[in-house]
Amino acid sequence: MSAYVARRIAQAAVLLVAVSFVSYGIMNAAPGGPLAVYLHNPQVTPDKIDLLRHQLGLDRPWYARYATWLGGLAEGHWGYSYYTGRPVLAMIGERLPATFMLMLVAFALAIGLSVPAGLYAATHKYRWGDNVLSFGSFFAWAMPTFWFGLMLQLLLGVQLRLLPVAGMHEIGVTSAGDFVRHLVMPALVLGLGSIASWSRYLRSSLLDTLNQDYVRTAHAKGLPGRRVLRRHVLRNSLIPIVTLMGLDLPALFSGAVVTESIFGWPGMGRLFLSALNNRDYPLQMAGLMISAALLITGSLLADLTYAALDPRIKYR
Amino acid sequence: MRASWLAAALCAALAAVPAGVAQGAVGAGTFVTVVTENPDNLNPYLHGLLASGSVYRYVFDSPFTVDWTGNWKPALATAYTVSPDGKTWTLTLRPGVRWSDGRPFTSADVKYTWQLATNKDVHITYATGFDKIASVETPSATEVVYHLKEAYAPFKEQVMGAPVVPQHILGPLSADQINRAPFNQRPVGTGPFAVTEFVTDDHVTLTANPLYWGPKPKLRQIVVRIVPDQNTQVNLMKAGDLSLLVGVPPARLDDIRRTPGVAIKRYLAPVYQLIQLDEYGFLKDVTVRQALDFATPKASIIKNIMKGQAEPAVSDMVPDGPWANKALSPRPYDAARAKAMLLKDGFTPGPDGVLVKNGKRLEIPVWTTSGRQTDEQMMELIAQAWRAIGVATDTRAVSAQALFGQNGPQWNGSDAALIYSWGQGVFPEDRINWASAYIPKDANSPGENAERYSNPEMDRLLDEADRAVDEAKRRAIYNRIQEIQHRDVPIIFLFWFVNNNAVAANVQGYDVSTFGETPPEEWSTR
Repeated sequence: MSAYVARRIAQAAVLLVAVSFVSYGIMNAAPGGPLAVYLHNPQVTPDKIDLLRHQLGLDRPWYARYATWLGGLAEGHWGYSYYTGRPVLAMIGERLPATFMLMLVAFALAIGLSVPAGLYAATHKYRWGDNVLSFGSFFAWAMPTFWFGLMLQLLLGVQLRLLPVAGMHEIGVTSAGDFVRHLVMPALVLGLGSIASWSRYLRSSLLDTLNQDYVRTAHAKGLPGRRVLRRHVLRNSLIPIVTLMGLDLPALFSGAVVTESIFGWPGMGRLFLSALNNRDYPLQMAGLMISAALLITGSLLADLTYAALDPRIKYR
Repeated sequence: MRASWLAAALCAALAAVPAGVAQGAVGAGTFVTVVTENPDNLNPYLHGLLASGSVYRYVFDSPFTVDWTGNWKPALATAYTVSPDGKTWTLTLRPGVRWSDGRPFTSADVKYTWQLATNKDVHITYATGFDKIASVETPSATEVVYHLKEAYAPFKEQVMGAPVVPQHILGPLSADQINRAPFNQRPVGTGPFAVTEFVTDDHVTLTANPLYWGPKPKLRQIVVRIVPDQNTQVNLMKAGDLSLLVGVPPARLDDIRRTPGVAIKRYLAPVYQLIQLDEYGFLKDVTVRQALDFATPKASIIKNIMKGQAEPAVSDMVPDGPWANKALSPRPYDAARAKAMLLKDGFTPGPDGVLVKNGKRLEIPVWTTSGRQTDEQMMELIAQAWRAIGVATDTRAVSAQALFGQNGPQWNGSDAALIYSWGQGVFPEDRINWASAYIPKDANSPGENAERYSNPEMDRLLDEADRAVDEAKRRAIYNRIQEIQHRDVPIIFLFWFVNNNAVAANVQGYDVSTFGETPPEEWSTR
């Protein structure tokens, strides 16, 4: 098992280098560039732009810059942001806790709400509760995140004054309660898509399992219904969901881009978005590498969870 | 059912969190406003984003400043003189001014600001005018003498109106250290407020500076929140979390108007919407450009697309400002006249109704940046109006990067019309827009004259204007420059944007115009 994990990690490292090479190339092939923002600023003169281009090393070919960037990365330097002049690692370090907190709570909310919803729907098939949940999840799945976020703000923040509209803290307040109140809406909005899709997948997976012979046998040998559901049905139905969860990990990260923007949440997503808009290459690369690493980690974790769920699966 | 227990526990935890009592109430003495982007750098000479200016404006002063009524008034300086040849400018500084860290402000700081702005190793973004300075003398702590390389009339706006930075902090640093200095996040200035907290992507807190040389600020603190989404900003205003929202999006204006306790301040922004005419083929012909100006329904755009939140434009000088040529008026919409002009110019209608000259069809595609609904509506309306006079147009909305980038419409060597907006200061410094020397060679070479307008008379006038230290003479030159803009139509001036700021009812002393806001030290909140 540990040999398997070590092999997967080594593969992941190679994959990440390949991803970085392709991303760097595509990023540089896009029209414009980090200095495009200045080209139409009447205050910035032509020689200033030439100077900035030279100072930022943008007059070198992209593969030469890529080599420098990769070399720096190997030594633990992520480079400096073109815009703030600050180390990329420090900028990410400031925002990572906020994003991970948001992702974690959204993930927990998604598990906590989708599993009971899926179980209820599968065990109450075609009854009104199941229909309501079906309608609700398709509706949630179809709605754009930003719209749902703004509607929640208007309802809970402006009309009912139950929760703050945006931000992470009231100005000058640092209490945990204040933080949690600010976290509720963005986490719910971020987790909503996962809640909707996981509960649907779980429902259909459960319905498949409920018809299996061993489930009938379990009932026949007199096991209590709840125990059958938990030990035999749910556990066997979770494998497809676990795959989905692994793949949703980077989706939560990219979803955070929209959610953090709507709710003014000071996290990585916003940093990444503004890096994309400003063509801040070093920051952009950091964001791309983090989401690629999350995707690889997510699928590795999913593979390892299979083994925990299904004793027949063994890795060598 | 462990999962459902987890869910139940989470729900209970969320429900148990008490609702705040301070919700939606900005306390007295605190003023809360909002910007869209995280300020990238609070050093006025190093920043790239507009949001940075919205924060450092409370921190730094310049020798002279324009007040919100458009008049110059002394700030860090008390007086200036200029030699008759326009090459020597002498400043008398205000005595007794201190930096917010307690150190005295002197002529050395003013001299250092020039050295910083022209330091080639620092990532300077804003240095217009400083490059005209040959040397700076500081005969005493309150006296600065600038010697210019040549007479430069915009010196007052460009250099004497530029923020002064502290020599005692930045002077000892190397260029590389300046680029990454903590000063860039926690600047030290002479202004009414000082940055006391900067939480990245969340907010900047500015506290009243007790050492400020001017009237004591009435506010205790200004908080600038950083919220990227404009709709969220409006929701914050509606929830009572903001004292001021600059630039309410037009789509939410009625919504804000209906909100009790919020007032709207309407003013003309120094930003105009234009159609850039890339002069390659037919667009090199003045008559074609004038005809297109007549064929553009500007009044209808203002009324129907901008919903009245715009004012007609006729030149690049803001109409309520001191430099506008009041004698000019926009060409009215007159499709018949436009068509007649083109026919007289040698065009003949082809079989499909498109005008043809020398066997070539009059084809002008209309482009704009995607994402702004009003721009795309304008594009369709203008294309339709141009088709009506026999111009073949198709419309394309693309990203700004694609519009202005290397493969964009400006570089394919054929006529194109680009709709976008351009910011223009209140003061004339528009050489880079109209001088033939500023026609860009490719997408990576700077130069604002992307329409490729070239006119020797314009080039000469722009040179003369830079040398005209005498204000009356300078005004006459800019009047002429605007006449030529109107005559030659290097671009079609569509309109000036109207901005609407939302102000909470408990705010006093705040007002705004094209030139700026009332001084922040006069603002208060109850």
